Amino acid sequence: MKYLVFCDNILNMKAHAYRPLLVLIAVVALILVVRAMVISDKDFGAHEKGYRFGWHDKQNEEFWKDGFKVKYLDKSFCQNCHTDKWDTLMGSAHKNISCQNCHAKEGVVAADHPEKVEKMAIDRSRGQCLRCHADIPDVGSGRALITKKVDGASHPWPEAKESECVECHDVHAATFK
Amino acid sequence: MKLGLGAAVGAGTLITETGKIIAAAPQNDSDTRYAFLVDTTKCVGCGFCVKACKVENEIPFEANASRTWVERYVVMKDGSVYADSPKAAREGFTSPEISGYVTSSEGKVVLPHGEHEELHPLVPDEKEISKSFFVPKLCNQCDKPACVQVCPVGATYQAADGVVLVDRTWCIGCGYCIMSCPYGVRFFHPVQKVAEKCTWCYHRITKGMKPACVDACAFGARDIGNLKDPDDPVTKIIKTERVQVLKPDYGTGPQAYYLGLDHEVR
Repeated sequence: MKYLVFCDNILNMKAHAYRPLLVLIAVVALILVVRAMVISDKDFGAHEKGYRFGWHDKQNEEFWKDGFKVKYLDKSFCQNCHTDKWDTLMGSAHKNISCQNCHAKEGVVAADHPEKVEKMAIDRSRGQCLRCHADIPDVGSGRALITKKVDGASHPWPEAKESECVECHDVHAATFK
Repeated sequence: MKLGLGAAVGAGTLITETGKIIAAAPQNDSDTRYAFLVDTTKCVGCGFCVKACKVENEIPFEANASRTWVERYVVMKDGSVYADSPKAAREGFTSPEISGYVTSSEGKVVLPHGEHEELHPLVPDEKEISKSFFVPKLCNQCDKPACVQVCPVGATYQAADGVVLVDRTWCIGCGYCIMSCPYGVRFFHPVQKVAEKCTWCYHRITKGMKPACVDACAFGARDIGNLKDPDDPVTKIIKTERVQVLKPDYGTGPQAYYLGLDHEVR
């Protein structure tokens, strides 16, 4: 009975009542249409990993994919031009070492090379060689397999502890000069 | 896509030593689930991975923060364990001195601020060392990342391929994620002033490259693979060899697998 009265009220609605109602419906519909056009499914939402772990702005994934320049390059990048150094390196015990481990200091990267060739600084410091060749306790680690070990403070003699290793050693060939 | 149990085991779920199944390849439509493999027996502690990471991901070299780091463990014959990672080992391990430990003149190990007058850096007696090894650490890109769950603003999230990322424009710097990570991976970016973490070099792996730390390692101690590709060499090792994860009892489902992990490593 109440339901019939309700229907009757709507059907017999006066103009001053249903016109604002139509306007209200139109405004809500407009908002929904605009929202669907402006906010794409690439925006905030519970994506593949669900609400618990995957709630995020989808567009941020693009930042992490493309927002960074690839700076550290594999040594095959160097192979194209520096063939002589490449051949020497490949025949030495150092063949697995990536070029950019030594041929770059902070702020200068292989990706800028060769355009900024003059900035391609070389780290010739003694500590650079001691990273692998310092004689420290290594029982049971892969370091024990490195055969050439030196005491950084006294090699080759105590007075020479400030000198650079490359003064005597050829790093690319892993031999003496 | 629904998979039967047999297919799911074949497609990359793993059975841990406790018999629980870690869902290594969660069921979604993505054809990629990255996993990292660290062979600790190969690591020599040179720290080139840390150096390369800092260059690649724009973490200032001088800042005492790093996305990845290398730990040294020295286990003595009497059972005591010393561990250090000076400045995240960005310059490698070049000294037998173990940073963070100081001994008194009697040779007793004390904290740096002890009341002893003569303090010396700790250099363990080489004859008393049982084993001494290096363990690279980085983000585990957990299946159930605690850092994501605690974020109050939805700034950190897990992508479909399992990598956990931080939306720098939404992070408010509350630090909850830094506290919640059981592995201590997260930190504040000294320049961006937001929470920062290892992304396994997301800008490289999504282009088919290896992360910078993998390329920098001369000893093959690090590698990355796709658990949903049964022919992937890393996936084959994870599925056929004896691997461990860090802190499996936290229930985070870490996806950095370690070969040759010692029980002293935390």
